Amino acid sequence: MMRRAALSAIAILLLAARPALPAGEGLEYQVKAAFLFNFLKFVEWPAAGNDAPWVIGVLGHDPFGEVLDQTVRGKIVNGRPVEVRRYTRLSEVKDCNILFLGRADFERMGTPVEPGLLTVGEAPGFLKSGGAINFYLEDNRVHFEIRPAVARSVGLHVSSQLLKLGRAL
Amino acid sequence: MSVYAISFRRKLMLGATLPASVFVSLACLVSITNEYYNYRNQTTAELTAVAGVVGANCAAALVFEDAKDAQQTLAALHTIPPVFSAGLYTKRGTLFASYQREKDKNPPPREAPRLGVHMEHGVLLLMRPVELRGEVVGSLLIASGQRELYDGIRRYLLLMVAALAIPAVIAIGVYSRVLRILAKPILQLTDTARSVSLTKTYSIRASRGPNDEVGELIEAFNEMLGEIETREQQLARHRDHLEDVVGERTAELRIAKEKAEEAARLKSEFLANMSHEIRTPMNGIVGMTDLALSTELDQEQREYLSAVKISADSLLVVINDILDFSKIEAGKMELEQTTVDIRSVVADALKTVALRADEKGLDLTALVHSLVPAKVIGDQARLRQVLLNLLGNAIKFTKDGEVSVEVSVVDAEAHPVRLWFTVTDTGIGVSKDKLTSIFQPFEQADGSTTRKFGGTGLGLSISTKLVAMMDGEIGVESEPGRGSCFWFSLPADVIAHAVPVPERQLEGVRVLIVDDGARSRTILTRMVEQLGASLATAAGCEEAMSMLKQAPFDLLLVEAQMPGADGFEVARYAQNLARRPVIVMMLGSSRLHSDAAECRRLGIEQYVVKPVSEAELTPALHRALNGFSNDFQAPLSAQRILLTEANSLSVLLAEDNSVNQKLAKRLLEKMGHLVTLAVNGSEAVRAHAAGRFDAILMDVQMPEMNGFEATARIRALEQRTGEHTQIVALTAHAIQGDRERCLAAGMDDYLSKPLNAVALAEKLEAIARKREPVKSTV
Repeated sequence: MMRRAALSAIAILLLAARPALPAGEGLEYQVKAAFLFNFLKFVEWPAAGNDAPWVIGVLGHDPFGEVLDQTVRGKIVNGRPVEVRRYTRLSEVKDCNILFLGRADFERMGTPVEPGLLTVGEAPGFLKSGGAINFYLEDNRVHFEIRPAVARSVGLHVSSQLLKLGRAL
Repeated sequence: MSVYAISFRRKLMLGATLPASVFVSLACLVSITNEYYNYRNQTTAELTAVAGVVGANCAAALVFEDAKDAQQTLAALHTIPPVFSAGLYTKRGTLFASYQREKDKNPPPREAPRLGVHMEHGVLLLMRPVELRGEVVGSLLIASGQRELYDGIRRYLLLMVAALAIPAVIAIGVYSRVLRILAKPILQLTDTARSVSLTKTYSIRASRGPNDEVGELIEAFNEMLGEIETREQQLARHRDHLEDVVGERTAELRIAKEKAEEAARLKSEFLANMSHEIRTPMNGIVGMTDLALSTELDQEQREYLSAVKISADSLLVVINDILDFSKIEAGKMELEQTTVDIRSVVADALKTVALRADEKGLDLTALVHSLVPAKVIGDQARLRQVLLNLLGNAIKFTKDGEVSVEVSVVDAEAHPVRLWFTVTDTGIGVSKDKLTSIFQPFEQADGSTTRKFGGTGLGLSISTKLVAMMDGEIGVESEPGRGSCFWFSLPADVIAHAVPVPERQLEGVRVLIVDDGARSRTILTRMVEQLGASLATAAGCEEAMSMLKQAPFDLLLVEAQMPGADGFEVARYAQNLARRPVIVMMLGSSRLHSDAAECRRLGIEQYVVKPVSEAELTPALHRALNGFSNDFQAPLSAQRILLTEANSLSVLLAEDNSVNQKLAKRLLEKMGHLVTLAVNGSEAVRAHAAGRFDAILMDVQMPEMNGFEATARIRALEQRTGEHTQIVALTAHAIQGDRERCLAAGMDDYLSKPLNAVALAEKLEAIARKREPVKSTV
């Protein structure tokens, strides 16, 4: 009895602590992968009619590894499956909905501003460079900031809920 | 209180209001229930909508794990008052964010409850999934209080009560008023009916009612009362009349009763007189016949006189029966309580009927068991009468065979002992259907029996009543053609217990009993065996003779009259034997004279008269063995009388009837007494004054001065001299009370007429014994 109570107490502590304590890279990118996927739900793309899969692209260095693939595997959003594509060059980016650019890559390759492409980065200055959403860490937690104007300029509508959660600039 | 005990008005009231109340209450209940569910559904719908909105607003916060934002969103629920608390759960079911209206009150559980709407402790719990673009990303719990619901219901109830109760009160008031008007005549009718039944006054009328059914009822009731009143009056008239009639009848009956009582008294008196009138001449007839028979007569004269004697005796029996019966019927029979010697009573009764039995050739035996007490308290005369009645009947209805009496006792130690008397015969018997009726008066086995056997048919009836008076029982067992056994049992107080078994006085004496009667043989055997003798029995002459031939006997006890060769032949044979036994002859009463003479002629030592009692047999055997012989000179009937010759008395006989006078005088003289005559009371008084007498025999009914008065005068005279002459009353009054009257008048004893020679002798003997040594005689 006592043992079970103790075990459940530990379990509760662990579960409650999880989102507040992203320990290490693996956990951070797990969260970021989930965020990337969830952005699909809070952003409206203009060509919402077609049946092609949602594409989440990673340009250059891939910090996710398998995590991102695992996150989207089997998921259906608005009736369309989700797939992950990896690009080495900007010119390769095509039919992509969300494009993640690593810390180094956006400085090296520049931030693309294309219609229908939601760019997500993880470095300070990414938004200044023309990115739409940028991850940042605060209190050991993953947060994001949004430039709704950028999103609007590429023809995307960002849900007010997302705006409320992110730091809007 | 049962429904029936409620008043009529209440019943009506209840009948009207109860269903209505029930109906209204039910309607309220249905309505409230309906309202409750409506409200609940509505609340649920509202909350569901709220939960949808809040959930949608929380979806982003959930996905992006922004608990703070979720918290803020949930806080918006503050604007919905019934909501106590809310909880947002992740997809995995852990609490993500929560809201509580009041701190520490209804916190959402840490883990997600199941989906749906349910109640818990009066709290409505709504659990909804939170979806995002078709994907479930978590769940939302909203807990809502029901206070509003209850408030609503309360309001509703108040409204209902207000809307229903007020009209109900008004309706009841109105209805009760109407009822009072309706019920009033009925209640009045009830009061009237009650007062009528209480006071029995049928002139009361109920007041007129309304012009409806109740009015009709009241009218009918009044009519009925009128009817009853009329009847009552008629009845009262009839009753009064009836009382008059009853009064008249009672008076008539009283007169009739007085007449009847008077008649009964006259009848008793008549009976007493008749008894006197009949017995006096009967006394003469019987006594004189006796005297005539004791004189020298030729054969023809003796036969005629014997016939007269027999007829007179039978007539006397009939008269006595009728008188006894009348006495018992009139309740005037009284029992004496004196000492009774049972054995002598039985022997006496047997002797009385012995002659008759002997004449019919019947074997008459008696057996009194050794345990039967010697002396008890009782009425000797009545016991003898019952025994004689039964014996007389037995002899009358038995053609041949035997009649036997047996007396036994069940428990000799009991107090009182119960004596059993049985009289068994081998006569015609009694058929089963007559077994009880023969004890009824005037009944014999059938009408023809009376004609054939004679008799009044009162004997058994008298016996039955006498036995009943003695607290006994009587009965009969019988089979037609095989004889009867009449029995009666009596309780009796014991004075002297049974005489001890006689010593074995005849030890070693060899006795041969010769008797053709089996029962008689048995009884004789018992008697002789008790004396210690060694015994042999023979049923006939030839058997006896062969036995005598074979072995010597010391004593021969022979029955004189036997079929074929009679006892005298055996006696003659025995007398010629080398070792001649002593002979005792048993003689029948009928041929006593000639047989006794024969005994004397043959030189037979002793004879005894049948039936033989133990008391007689034992001394007879002794006398025979010791060489004594009977006094053959004295005829048996006179023996008793002559015994008193030595004690001659001087007797004054006061008797008016000349026949009786002569009879008594002869009897007394035969007994050896000196007799002086007086024809009435005054003569008797004079004679007493003139001379001295040992005894006065005083007839009660005499002309000039009756016996009572004469006795009173004599006693008065004796007061001076200090003497006391024995006065014995002679009375024909067999009615109760005579004895008391005699003793009250100063008499010493009384004898009832017709005079019994033996009884007279006994009385005089007793007087002689009491008498002082003879000083002088007149």
